[in-house]
Amino acid sequence: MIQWDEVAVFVSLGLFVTVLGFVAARWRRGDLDLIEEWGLGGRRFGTIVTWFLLGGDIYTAYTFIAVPALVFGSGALGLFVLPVGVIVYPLVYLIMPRLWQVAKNRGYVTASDYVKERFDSRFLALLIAVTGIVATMPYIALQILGIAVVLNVMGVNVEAALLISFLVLAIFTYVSGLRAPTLIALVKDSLIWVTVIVAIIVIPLKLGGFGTIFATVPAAHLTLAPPLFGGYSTLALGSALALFLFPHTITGTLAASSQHAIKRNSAFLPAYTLLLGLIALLGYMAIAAGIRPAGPYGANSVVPQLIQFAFPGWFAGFAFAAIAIGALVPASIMSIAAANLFCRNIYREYLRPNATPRDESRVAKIASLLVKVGALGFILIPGLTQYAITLQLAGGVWIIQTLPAVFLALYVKWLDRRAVTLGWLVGIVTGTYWLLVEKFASALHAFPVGGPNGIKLYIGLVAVLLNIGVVVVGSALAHALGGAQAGWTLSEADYEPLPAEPAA
Amino acid sequence: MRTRDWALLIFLIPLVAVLWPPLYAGIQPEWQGIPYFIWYQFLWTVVAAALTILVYLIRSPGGER
Repeated sequence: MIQWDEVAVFVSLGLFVTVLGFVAARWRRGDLDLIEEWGLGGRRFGTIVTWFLLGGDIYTAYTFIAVPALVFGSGALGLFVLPVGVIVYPLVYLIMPRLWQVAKNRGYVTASDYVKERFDSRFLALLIAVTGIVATMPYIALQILGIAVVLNVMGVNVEAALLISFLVLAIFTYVSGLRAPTLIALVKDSLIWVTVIVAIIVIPLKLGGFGTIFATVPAAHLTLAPPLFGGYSTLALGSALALFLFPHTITGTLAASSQHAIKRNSAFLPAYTLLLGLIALLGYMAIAAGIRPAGPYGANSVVPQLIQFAFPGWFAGFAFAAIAIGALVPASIMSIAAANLFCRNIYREYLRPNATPRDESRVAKIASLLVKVGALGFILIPGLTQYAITLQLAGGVWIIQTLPAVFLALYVKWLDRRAVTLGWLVGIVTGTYWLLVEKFASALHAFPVGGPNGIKLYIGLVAVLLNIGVVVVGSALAHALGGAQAGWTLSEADYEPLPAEPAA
Repeated sequence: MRTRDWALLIFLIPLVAVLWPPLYAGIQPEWQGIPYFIWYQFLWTVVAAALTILVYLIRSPGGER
């Protein structure tokens, strides 16, 4: 049955952000026929805009639905998003300003641009770019899934409504580039904050307080059992290391206007961790409210159902719009990030070396459309949705394998490019193998350490440790044998602010 | 003004606090009916952000733009 009051509010907010998406083309006007303008917003976003942009980018609709669903189904494990937030922002503070500076000085639009010049290897750059694109595609698909879940609860025709939201997303991204999701992120984050603050006050009141809520949850779901300790902390550490290797977060970071904008955000972005933590608690509230997974989306439907249970129709529509717009923003940034990678590191590098800046931005715009068509296919073709979830799990394991080439390379001069390439291969192969052993159903695998049954650890972290081991041993060997190909083509000055710029 | 790299060691505090689950895997002591496992991690989210601000202030005095 169609919930008309919900739909009315939902559609109004949807129309509003559509208009905003097109108006964005004129915001902080730049020549959108240049990829730095279309794909990075001209690197002009200050502290506050970057806060909204990265917040909108990292904390996605799928997270809002899947994290409480995990808490609802498996309990405490789902709270690993809190340690991720604690670990990731010091990393951002340490690493991202340096990456931003070298990208700014040398005109890089993607992480692969950096890898190419840093290692003087367009092949390694290609591997990093392909890893990024492959890891991003299923992530976009899951955002579309997030919209589908709320559409289904509102009772509208999911396919038709998805096509419309998809068209809106595709066109405003094509026209306005990164400016569109950035401007919409301001609306998205405001809606999400309002929704969560209201939910976290109203729902416990309705259910008799936090004490009552937690009393209805089985005790085993409220804390972590010792066998999961290793899995919990390696999952948190691995996810934190992977988070800022994803193309969409790197794109969001490179769009900042200064090192300071990034450093300040490492202190202010944890506000979103708090927000996500509160959203995770909705999983417990759904248990207390007696919500049962229903419909084609199973446990992913518990948050929308809880919202419908707790609020009048108009506010539920508001909350659903927040989730749906919360899908459009990251989906748009992800498609831009994947398009930037395709354009810079595949098209310009291999297909058309003498492409003009105008060609570049045209190809990126078209690539952003194709990426989204692929993602939509995952959701609309029956049976493929499960693959999107599986592949997104694998995406984290794969993207973390770019850590030596992108993060380590910023600090360690003596890395040999052949060792980094081999390390990547070892990480991808072993990571994928362990995922296969787990039948792609879990990112944790029991490794033969500490006891007869081993300890369950996050596959991505173990694989990247092997990867780093190969990189270090391989580079040391290359130096010992006197044939090192460090390819340290950049000088330390390339990582420092230009004299004209304010100091870091 | 040097970069005062020693301040980065402050980051080790939250890292250890959340990466060692034996420190916080338990239901007692509850706070306002909220299990220890849950309020501990929320608390560290806030403390970690405060420590990041502290590191920023130590290393970028005056917060020049």
